[in-house]
Amino acid sequence: MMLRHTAAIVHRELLSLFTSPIAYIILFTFLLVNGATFHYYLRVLDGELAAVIASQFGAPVFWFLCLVAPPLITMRAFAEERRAGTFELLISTGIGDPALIFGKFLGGWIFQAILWCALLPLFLLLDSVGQIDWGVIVSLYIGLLLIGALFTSIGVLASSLTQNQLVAAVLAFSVNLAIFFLSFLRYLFDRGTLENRFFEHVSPLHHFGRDFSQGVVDIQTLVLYFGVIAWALFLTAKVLERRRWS
Amino acid sequence: MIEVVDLQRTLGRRLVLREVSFCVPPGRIAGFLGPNGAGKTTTMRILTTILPPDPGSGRVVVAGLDVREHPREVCRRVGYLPESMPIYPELRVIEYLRYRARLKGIPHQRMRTRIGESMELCGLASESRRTLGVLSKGFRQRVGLADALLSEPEVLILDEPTSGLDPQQVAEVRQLIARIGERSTILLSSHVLGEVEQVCDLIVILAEGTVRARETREGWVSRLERAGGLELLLRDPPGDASHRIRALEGVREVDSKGDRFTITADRDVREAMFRLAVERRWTVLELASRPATLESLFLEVVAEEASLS
Repeated sequence: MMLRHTAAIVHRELLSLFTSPIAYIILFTFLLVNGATFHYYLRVLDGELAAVIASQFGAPVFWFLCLVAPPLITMRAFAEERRAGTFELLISTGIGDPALIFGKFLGGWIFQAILWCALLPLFLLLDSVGQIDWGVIVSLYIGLLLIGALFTSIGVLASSLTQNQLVAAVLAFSVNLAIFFLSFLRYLFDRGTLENRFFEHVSPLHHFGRDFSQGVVDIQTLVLYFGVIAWALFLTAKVLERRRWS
Repeated sequence: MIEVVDLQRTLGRRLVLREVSFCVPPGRIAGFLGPNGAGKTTTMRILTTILPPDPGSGRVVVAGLDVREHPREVCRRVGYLPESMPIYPELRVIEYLRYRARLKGIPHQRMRTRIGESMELCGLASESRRTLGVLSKGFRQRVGLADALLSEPEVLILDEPTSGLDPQQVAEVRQLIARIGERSTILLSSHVLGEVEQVCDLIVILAEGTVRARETREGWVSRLERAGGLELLLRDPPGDASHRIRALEGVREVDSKGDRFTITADRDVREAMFRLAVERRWTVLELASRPATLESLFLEVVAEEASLS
């Protein structure tokens, strides 16, 4: 039953996203910005495909999209349901919190996966003019899906905390930004110290630069991401449980 | 059936329900009345498992199941229509009902039949492709009712189902409720007492979080008969007219404004009134019964509560 409930929520989330302008605005901006940066790096790096791909996924604009897109996608998840009053109707069906939360999370995450998959034709185009390492592309996509899942789980949590979509988006973006800036805290400590290694270990920027864009998938990174995702979804469940008592 | 015994619920620090007890037997339509803030919606939310009762407080049994012990199963057996039907404006009627049917766990092979039947019953068959956002309030209420009926619920909880509808829509929704009531137990909250009088078999009046009155149709009809009165118009009534009328057996209260007297009595005093007028040689210009209404009963019960508090 939980699977069926989750599937129903995912279906409605995607239907709702694709019937609102926000999905198309994000998709259009996403493709435009990524296409432009690809074009720029292709010209600047003189067709060095490996360098183009590594630069593309380390560029500030890439991180900006990574940090901004998930809050915009997930801001409606619970905030809008509660504002419109549909949340009560939703729980009156007997749907459990795990199915509800997981459904919302998966809906947002699948939409992000669709966004990144929209870039695949670019890689196919590059492959037709040169030789690209598909192993690197696969590991990059694992990284993209992981970081997308991480920021989606934070977005879902933020959306459960308020009835205002905008507040939810700003809150999630702020947390995403804080996670991103964790990367820079390591520079406050000497190289090789425990603190330096800690901030390096939890830095998404580092995971992309060192691992995913080089074709490496580190099990420690996977555990870290899954841990944070589970923690954010668990907190969402606690928030929803508390809401029932207020 | 619905059975509520000593229900208590606190919201924040405020005790919004205190020892609420009532019972709606199977197949009956119960009117749930009370002023705003009386605790009707909170009770309904508890009956639909949206809110849990306070730990350790009383017992709430819906469709034969305790809401604390079997919340999921209760959800499957209860249809709920909230006060103002919230919607997903982007979805079509059919998409919305499919979504709700999936959430309610209706088996895939029965889904099409159930959606078709619910839409047919609520007069939505021709509106299935319209998006919810463009529907009128009346049609949205119908979508809400169709949704509530999807799982063929044993119990229906309707929170002010005709609020904000035009008179024609009100009449249609009332007819619909009466039809549904033939096979389900219904708890209907409404501020329109005429509506309750028309469709309900029993009433529960809630005020300040407690049940102030529980009456079956027979009970409230006989109470209204007892609570009726007379309107009397005399030509040049003498100064002691009020006093003499009040002295009649069964008369509770006499309110006089010039030549006009409004008499409240516990029984039918028309004959006694007529005899008194003949005996005292009063010229009666008008003598008419003033039947009590459910509204007057409701106001009386709520006023009792106000004076007690």
